[in-house]
Amino acid sequence: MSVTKIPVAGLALSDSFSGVLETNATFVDQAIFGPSVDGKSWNGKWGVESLYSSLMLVTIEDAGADTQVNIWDLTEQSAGAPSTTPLGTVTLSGDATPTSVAACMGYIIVGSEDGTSIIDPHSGSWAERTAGYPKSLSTSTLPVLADNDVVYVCAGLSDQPPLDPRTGGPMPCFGVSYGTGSRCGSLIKYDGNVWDNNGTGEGCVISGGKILISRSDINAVISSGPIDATIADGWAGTVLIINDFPYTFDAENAMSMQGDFLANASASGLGLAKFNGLSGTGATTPSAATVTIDRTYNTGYMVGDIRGAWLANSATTDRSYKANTLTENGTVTEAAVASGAELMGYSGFSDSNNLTRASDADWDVIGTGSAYMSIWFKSTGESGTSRLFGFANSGNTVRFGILLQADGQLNCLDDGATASVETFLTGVNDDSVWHKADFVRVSSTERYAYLDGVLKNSNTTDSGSVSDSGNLPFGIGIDPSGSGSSAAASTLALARLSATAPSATQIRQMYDAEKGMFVASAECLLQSGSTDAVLDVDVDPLTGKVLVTQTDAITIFDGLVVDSKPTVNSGSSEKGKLWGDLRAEQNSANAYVTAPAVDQRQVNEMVRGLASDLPAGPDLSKAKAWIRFSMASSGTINGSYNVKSITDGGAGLWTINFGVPFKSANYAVVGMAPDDAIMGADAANVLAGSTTVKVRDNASSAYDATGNYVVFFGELENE
Amino acid sequence: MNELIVNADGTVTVVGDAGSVSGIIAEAVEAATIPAERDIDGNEVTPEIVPDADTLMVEVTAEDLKTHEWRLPKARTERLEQIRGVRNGKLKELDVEYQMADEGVHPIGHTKAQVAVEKKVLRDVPIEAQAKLATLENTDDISAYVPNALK
Repeated sequence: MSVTKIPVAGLALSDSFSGVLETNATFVDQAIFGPSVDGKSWNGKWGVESLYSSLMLVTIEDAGADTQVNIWDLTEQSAGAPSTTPLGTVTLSGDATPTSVAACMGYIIVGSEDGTSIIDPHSGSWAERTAGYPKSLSTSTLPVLADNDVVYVCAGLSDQPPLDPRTGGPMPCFGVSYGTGSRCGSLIKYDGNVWDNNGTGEGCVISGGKILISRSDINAVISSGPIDATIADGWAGTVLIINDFPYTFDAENAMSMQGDFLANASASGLGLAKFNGLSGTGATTPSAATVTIDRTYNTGYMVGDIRGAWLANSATTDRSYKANTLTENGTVTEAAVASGAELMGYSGFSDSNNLTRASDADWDVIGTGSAYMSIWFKSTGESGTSRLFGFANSGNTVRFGILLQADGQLNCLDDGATASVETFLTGVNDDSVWHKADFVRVSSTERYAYLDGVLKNSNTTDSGSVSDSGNLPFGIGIDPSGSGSSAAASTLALARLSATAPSATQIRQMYDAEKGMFVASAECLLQSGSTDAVLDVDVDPLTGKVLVTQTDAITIFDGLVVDSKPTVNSGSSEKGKLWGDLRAEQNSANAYVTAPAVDQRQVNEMVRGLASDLPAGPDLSKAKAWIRFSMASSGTINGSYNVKSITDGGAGLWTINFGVPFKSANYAVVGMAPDDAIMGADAANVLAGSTTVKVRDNASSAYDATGNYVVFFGELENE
Repeated sequence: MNELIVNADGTVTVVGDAGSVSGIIAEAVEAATIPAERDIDGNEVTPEIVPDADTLMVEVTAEDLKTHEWRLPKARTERLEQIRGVRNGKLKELDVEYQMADEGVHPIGHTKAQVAVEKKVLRDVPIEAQAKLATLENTDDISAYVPNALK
């Protein structure tokens, strides 16, 4: 039975619509914004008719000597077409070369050769704001910009912004990148200060309470510390991505970010990075997972200190920056991983046909440190133990790799100077279906084996040092010596080696992002017919999908797989933005928008449901942190929640540090020691971020007791 | 297995569910960083001084921690503190015995002089223990060490 929904007054379905907003060849940039994007109503001028709506598009045009800014209503349509009457139009006189636009909480920032302009509706009409915060800035204003040559702008929120009296919501911050001068960019902070950093900029975003700037002079993306704590020029420039590792294409044309997921538009292709948090430097947070995609290959996720990314649509090419090219001995068969799929798999391995490389410093001196191997495989069943990939010395006294046995088990082999440690992935894994094996060696005494993103086995046996400099050849589908143990019945793809150990969460996320590449007709490459260059990129705040704009192709990626390929409306494509299924497009001929049908009643009910959660406030009845730990020896945490670390301060004296601190020191601590001891809080050291507890035995001597329990109640800083 | 960090003062930090080694080290470096000084125009007068993370804290394995040069002095100090605590408890017990000897009712007939000798031995325990602990180069040995007078 089919059900036909009948629009009724007050319960109407909103039809889908699409069409050209304005025919014009001079559009430069655009941004989707509004209370819906901010997730916060503006308590300002809703009463002013046709001033603003919940979802809008701002476009900027090069109008010769000036810049024209138009604000379009994306909630209004007529007969299946969008409203072509802008909510507002503002001309920025003298801004002859507009470069970019961004918006947050109704404030639109426009970058040009004359600095930045701020436009907003909060005084009753769309107009440029030249006084107060935020306001238009240049090298002649106070505060000053470091340079007028603004090539990119961004807008967003810090972690704890002050409230804006104009909107009742959080006050946004802004960022700029400079194309010339000694400064790569500036943070325009809600307190009116402008804090610069060195270098040459090309892009910027505000995400996670920090500003990130792409620097063309060192091919890097740098991040500030928390914006709220940024109080000077030269803010701590932690490097998140650089041209070695974590490795991906830089943001020379555009960048977009949601949470800790970054997308870069480069002349070389699409660069993606999923950061494992946004702290530290490239060296101390190397566990960022990155991807590079062009028309030829898709690397899959490369983790941190990548040492090689092979079998990404080439039998021999290393797609990482390491360029550890393999030798193809004989001919390895290349074929799509599934019917019509773009990703290639490699098979036909034998003593005559295989892939090898001589020993290399990138893997032959791992020592007792971290190593990580990941590979996709499909096998019909090997007749003996075969090597999917790995390295080993000639005497097989030092080995590291993933092997597939005749019984279908995978053997993740860590054979160092102390012991040969085998971590098995049991079960029938040679079932002619694609699987992903991940072997994580955190250290010589800690390793984990995953199948299809799920942890299956681990062990802590000490394997010792995996090092034999100059004597550890590498092989794929064959024993590293180049002969024997060939994976004759297996097809392999996306083999990656890294010196960084990813977390279980990352393993799961990488599997989920990559698995779609192995189904029939899956596309995973850039879809342009003529160029690798990506002109614009946008991460959808609602779905995390990535809209990739190339001159002759628009491609939406979901994970690492092409989700859809909208047709360019007219001319050549230039920019694009996503909001769920709504898409805005700027091409060489017009500004175009397409929006899905909306069931207004369903949306209303959803909003009512969400709103019902709002008044709850902090729950003071639940424990906000707890820990069971032993003080013996170097200390052991048996279980914990919201505990960043514990630190030994002396006999019986331990400090418990919280992940999220409490709002003040006025919280409750409840502790219990074993029955041969007494626990108390060190009153002088009960702080918002930590509590120090002391345990004494029954003779009142300080005592490192085992089996200690501490529970904390109160209001956390982020509640 | 918890990740371990040894701090420059010899204390040990055990990483919990909401922490990470890199995050904790990065925080320590940030906290110890001396910010750049700038003039009123924002020009840098003295550059920022960022300490080398290795001078503040180092990630270690449980095995390496046992012999780590930062850890050993701290472990010896803590063990000496524990020994003093046990010694103090035994001294209190001897105070009672001394009183009983003075009253002629010591349970095994010791005199005040004999009890005083025992107290002297206990008072010397920290000196003996400090000397012995200084020769031990492994925290397992340090934890296991018990002075003869306390056995």
